[in-house]
Amino acid sequence: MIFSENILICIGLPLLLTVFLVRDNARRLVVFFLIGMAACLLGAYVSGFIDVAFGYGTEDTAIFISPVVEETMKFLPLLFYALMFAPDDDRLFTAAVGVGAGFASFENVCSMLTIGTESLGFLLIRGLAVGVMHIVSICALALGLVLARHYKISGVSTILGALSVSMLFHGIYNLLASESGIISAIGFCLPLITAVLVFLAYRKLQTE
Amino acid sequence: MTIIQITLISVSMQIVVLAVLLTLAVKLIGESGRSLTAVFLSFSFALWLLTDLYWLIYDLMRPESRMPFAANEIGEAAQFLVTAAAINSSVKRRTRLPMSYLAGTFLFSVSNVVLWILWSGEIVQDIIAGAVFSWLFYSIVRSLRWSQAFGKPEWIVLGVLCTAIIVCQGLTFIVPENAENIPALCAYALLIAGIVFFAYKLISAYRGNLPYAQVFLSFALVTWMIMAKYMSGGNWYNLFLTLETLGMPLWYLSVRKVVKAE
Repeated sequence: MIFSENILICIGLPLLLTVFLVRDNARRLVVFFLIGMAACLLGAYVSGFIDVAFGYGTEDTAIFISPVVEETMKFLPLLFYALMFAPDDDRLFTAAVGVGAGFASFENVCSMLTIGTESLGFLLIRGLAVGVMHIVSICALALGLVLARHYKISGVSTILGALSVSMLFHGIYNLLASESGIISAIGFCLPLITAVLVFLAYRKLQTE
Repeated sequence: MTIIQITLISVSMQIVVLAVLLTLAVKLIGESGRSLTAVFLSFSFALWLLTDLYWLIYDLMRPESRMPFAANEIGEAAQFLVTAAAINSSVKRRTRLPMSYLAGTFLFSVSNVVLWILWSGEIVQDIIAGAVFSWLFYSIVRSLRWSQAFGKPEWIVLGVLCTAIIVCQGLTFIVPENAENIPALCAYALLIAGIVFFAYKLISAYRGNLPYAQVFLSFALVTWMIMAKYMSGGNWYNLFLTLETLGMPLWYLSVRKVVKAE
């Protein structure tokens, strides 16, 4: 068993001090990185509660419920920021990347402490997969918010659609990564492949 | 080949079709100068693709076990919502439905939800999905009325058809077990009649060069197939699933015609 709160405090304190020393985008990134880590911890609490309250079992909660809870937890601070401060698109994406990176980093640290840190290869693969997955999924959320703002109508559909895309993407990753062998290898490759495809599609749309 | 194996093949085929359609729809966003309908269509295809993928992976990894509440159920509801948004973005003038249309749509939607609950027993999930499905029904009815895709007699035919389907499906719970097949078969025949009806109207709209009516009728046709799929089991489910896959390109083709002209 690990004490996640203690880990959060130890990693969070230096970052919190950094907030006072940097400005503008750097400060925004650090603040949202911290928020991402806190969202990860809160997500674990909520998933734990659902596991106990509905008797899903630890494995099923991690595979089926965590994607729903974690994506919602990542989305809430972003939604709050978008609605309260009406930032421009660049700032919103900086905030989204910060939340995603913070969430993935904290999840990686806790997972490493739980499963051990002997195999660098495995940790690299898992770390990269989780990192890319959280950043890709939160970028989808940010894109949903940007679309909702630009097109005005059907904002609820756009936001819920984006949230569902993130949940499904995360859910598919969790499903594949929960198995061993070739299936988990496909799961670990999935975020990277998706990131490349999304990047290519985005560039093509921009040139058009 | 077992029924579940046929379902797996049908879903795999649908995933391939959706991947192609998603690529084309994303291209259409650029070609149409970022049309809102094209954006929502891409979004809808993406959600449908991910929902299917999730279901397929789950079924391959854990065959013959009932899936607990998972992200794909939320994805399915969101897909209906985004599809409704795609339809509404094509309706150029906001119109209110008369009371009789509104009541008919509401009653048909509620009846569907009640039947789902009776079949599955998943009350909360079915009510949430049903609420979103009702919004999709409402959007379709409103768009069909706005585009004048149906005349008054055709609306009456549709109303009678919907009522007869609900009555037949309801009868399957009431009649004795040995006579259950009769109302069930009648319901399937009526569901197929509905598909033929919408397909006929879509062909008429195509011949009459009515692009907006084509868009809304193509959405109505595939939504009818989705509804038929939810009302069926076994090989009937696979039949409607295959028809649904065949109908999907109609969404893209009809939307492309409208957004390119805009």
